[in-house]
Order: sequence, then structure tokens, then C-alpha cells
Amino acid sequence: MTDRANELSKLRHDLRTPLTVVIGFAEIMAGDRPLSDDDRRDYAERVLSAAIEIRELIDSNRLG
Amino acid sequence: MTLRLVLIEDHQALREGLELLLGREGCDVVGTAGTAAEGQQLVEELAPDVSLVDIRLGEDDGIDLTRRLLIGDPERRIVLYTGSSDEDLLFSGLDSGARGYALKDGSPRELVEALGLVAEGGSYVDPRLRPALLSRRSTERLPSLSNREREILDLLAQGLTGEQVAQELVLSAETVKTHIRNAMSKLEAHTRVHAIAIALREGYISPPDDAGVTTRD
Repeated sequence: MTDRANELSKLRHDLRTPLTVVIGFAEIMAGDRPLSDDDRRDYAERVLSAAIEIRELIDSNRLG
Repeated sequence: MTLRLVLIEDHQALREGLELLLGREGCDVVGTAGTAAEGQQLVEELAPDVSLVDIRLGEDDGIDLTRRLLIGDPERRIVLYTGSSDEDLLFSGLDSGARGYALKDGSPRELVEALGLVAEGGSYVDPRLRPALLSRRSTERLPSLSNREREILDLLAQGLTGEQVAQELVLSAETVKTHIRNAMSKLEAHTRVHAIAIALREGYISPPDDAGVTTRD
């Protein structure tokens, strides 16, 4: 595997970690089970924070 | 019974998120760690039903941690957790003796199912990895499996327990165990799921129609 292919493979892995947070909490918020306002806010903040991390990974020069 | 789980994941947001998500799915997360050293200590102290171990733990390696934990106690139940579907990593993970291999692409419910299977003494490989299992090309010559050994591995790959296989084939449970041991030895596999993975890869058996490769003892 070339250096670039290696780097892309690592980046894909790095992206999946925060993406798992986004999907996991988004699924809960979209689900049928009731959530308190505090929990909903907490989960939304976790999604937001993980989404920002994904954006930073995409913006990093590793794709350049 | 509630599943007692230790969670070892270096990414803090995911670690905290999984603790919450798995707790909501009914798991009792008795300990969490962000490094291999902390994780090893927790598993040794808390003796959980099952441990979820991220393969990439910063500077540490979850596969090495798994090997160390299993040297200490070969009966420990460990599910490796990764965002990578790299097939070399998969086989290296299965070689370590881990009984489960789950991808971060899966839902929390799938993960709980995998953890439950492994805690009960079974094995699990994420269904998304089936193409990797099937496409793997090997240059080694493996000794042939007998028809009976193939038949038994095929039933295990469909999710039957050893006992159910014995009933299905009208054999004693001990005979089935012996066939499984012989097949594992021929395939140089460390666990049942590893044997199934190799048997699938080499075309000795066909993949099951649905879900992942799962086995129960």
C-alpha cells in the first residue's frame, strides 16, 4: 500500500470514530423512546461536537 | 441477566457515548479506560462478563492488549472494536484469540448483540466483514477437512450451538466437540469463529444467508 493509500485508510478509520457518536445519538433522538430535555440537549451537544471533529478531519491537509 | 462490561476506547467522546448508549441498551458498564494499561488493570480487577476493546488505542494496540489479557486468563471474553475493515487486521484480531470482531459502522443494538453472544461463550464477526472473509486469498496449503467437519462448521456458521449441531446430526455432544477440535487443529485456528472464518475463506463452507458469522458453544 502506498503512503497516500495508508493515510487515506487511517483517515477513514479516524472519521468512523466520531461518526459512530453522531449516528448513535442521532438514532436515539430520532427514536420512539421518551427523552428528557436535559438528555436531548446533552445528546445534541455530543452530535455537534463529533460533527465538528469530522469537519476538522476533512479540512485537515491529509486529503490535500 | 445484565451484562457486566468493561469498555476500552481511547477516543473520549466515543468512550463516553458508548457508555451511555450501551447503558440505555441494558448493559452494566462497570468500568471504562482510555489506555491499554488502565484497561488491563480494570479487566483484571473487575472480571467483567465481556470486554470491548478498541483496536487502535492511541499509541497502544488493542490486539496486543487482547493477547496479554488472554495469557492471563484464556477464558476472558473480548470483542475487538474497530473502524477499519482491513482484512489483515481482521485475521490478526482473530488470531489474538478475541471471540468477537465488531465494526464501528454497526448500531449500538448490533454491538449489544455481539457482546451478549460473546459473553455467553459464543463468537461474533460483523456481517460487513463477510466479503473480506470470502475474498481472502491464501497461498498456504491447508489439510482437507472431512465431510463431517465441513458439515459441523457449516452448521456452526449458521448460528447453531454445539449441542444443537449434535441434535441435528444425531451425534453425541462430545463427538461434535472432537470434530470441532480436529477442524480447528487442521485449520490452525485458535477459536471456533476463527475456524469458520478460515473455512469460509477457503471455500470449505458457504456463507450463511443472513446476519454475521455467529457461533455459540
